[in-house]
Amino acid sequence: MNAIEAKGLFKRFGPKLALRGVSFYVREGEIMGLLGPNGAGKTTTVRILTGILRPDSGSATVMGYDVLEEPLEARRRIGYLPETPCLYERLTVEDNLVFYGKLFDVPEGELRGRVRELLALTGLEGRAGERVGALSKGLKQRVAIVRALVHDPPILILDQPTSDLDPASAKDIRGLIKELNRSGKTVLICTHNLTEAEELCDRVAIINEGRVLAVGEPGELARELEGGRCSFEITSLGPIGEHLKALSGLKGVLEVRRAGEDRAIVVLEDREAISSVVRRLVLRGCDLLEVRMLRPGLEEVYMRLVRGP
Amino acid sequence: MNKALLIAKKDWKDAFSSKAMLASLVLSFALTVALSVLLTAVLALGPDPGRFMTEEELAELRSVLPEAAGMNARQLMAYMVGTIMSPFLFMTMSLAATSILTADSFAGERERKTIEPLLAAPISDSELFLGKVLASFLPTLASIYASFGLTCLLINVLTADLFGRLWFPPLKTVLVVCLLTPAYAFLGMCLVVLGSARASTVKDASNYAAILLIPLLAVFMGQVFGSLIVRTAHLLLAAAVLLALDFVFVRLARHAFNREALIVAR
Repeated sequence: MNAIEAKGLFKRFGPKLALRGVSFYVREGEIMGLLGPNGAGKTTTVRILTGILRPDSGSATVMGYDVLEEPLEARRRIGYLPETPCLYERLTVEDNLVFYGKLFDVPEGELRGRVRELLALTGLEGRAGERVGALSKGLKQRVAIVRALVHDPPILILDQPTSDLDPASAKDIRGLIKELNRSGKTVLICTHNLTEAEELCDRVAIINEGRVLAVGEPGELARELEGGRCSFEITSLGPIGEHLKALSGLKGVLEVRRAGEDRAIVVLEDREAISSVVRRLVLRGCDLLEVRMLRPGLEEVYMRLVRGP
Repeated sequence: MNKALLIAKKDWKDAFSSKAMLASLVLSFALTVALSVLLTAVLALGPDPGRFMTEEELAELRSVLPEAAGMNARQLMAYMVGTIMSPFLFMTMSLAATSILTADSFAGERERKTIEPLLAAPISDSELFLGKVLASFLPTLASIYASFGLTCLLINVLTADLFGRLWFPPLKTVLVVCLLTPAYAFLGMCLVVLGSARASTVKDASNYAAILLIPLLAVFMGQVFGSLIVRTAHLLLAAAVLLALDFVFVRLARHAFNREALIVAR
């Protein structure tokens, strides 16, 4: 069973069609990234999954529970971190967490212990009695993560968990997300931070203008994008320019371009063609220093899908 | 019901941890008690108002308050404060207090951006609505009864010699303060809930009940100037109408209270 399944979600806000048939699934135990620019439909999608918004059409399930038919059961299985911490700033850290623990039916006898345990896990020991309004952004985000975990849900939905945080706090939060995933939580994370997605996600869904453009592992998406073609960077000990002429017309070579005095990029139909390229260059007397396969990163995939080729 | 109560308790803790919020509620009712008691005290213990009024004027006042026939000028004026001025203060201050609390509870969650995780919790719309209604209305109700109790005690102590008996509150005052005032405040709360669906700030939302001050002022002025004689039957009829309006408006407010309206920016 998939932890989350979204099928053909459509959502309109006045004249704007925010979602145009969004479909994807999240496997149990994985970290899935929902990538897209601002206004792509990421937040609308997670708000439908958490039962905050109703889709105009389409369906979604969370651990097998339909979010429209059994919304309370579906919500019980999700720990949700919205884009902003959304904490009651006039209340203390403990008041916020105990309130949500009770809302999620955490037994009274377990609740305080669980809150203490989670505060320790997130480095917030000794902060329980502090008013949330007095905490830094990074600490508020940690409190909000604890709030999402207080009922021990199998799924975490995190909407841009590191936006607005300084690099050190963002790194801590990413570490925490990895740790939670290792402990068995399924994580759906919305982000437009591609480095973060590459670091954290097992799979990503790239979404733009309310449509899912691609779903898969970051590496797999890159391979699909290249369509079997591959690029190599060739570096020589001396100038490479005159040797490159020897490659024109060679079978399997699609494009050759200089990338510096001693460096060139060669685009091939398939990677097997690199041996004949190397052979031809060596026979021409080129002193090769390095031949390196270039793998397109998630950023390139994202840019090409979102902005076009 | 448990979750509604949980939400109400959280809202009380949140609202009353704001000194401004607590002060506005306490001051509203403290002012009501103070003005009611001070006016009565001045009339009961100060110079005899009969010295400044002609017999015709006193007769005119007695015609507005038929149950005050036989009272002397001092008693008559104290009675007028107790049956017209004091109930008017209770009604206006309750309306103000409930507007502030309701706007803070409904529009405040959106303004402070705290509503989203609440909507993602396993609670039904009805539980959430009921929780917010309890959070807004119960403190007003408790404040009305507590401050009215204090007013009764103080007025009776101050006017014991003047009347020679415990006279306050007369039946009409009881009906207005204990029945009409909560019903009117509840109507104000419903209007603020309806307004909260449209307003983006607490301040904007709290203004929606201000329209209810107009009929209140009209009745008050009508009584003061003698053009309106309010009898017990009128008050019972008004209570019945208000309860019916409360029923209609709370349904409208419940209908306007939907997750999408609470979360989508306008």
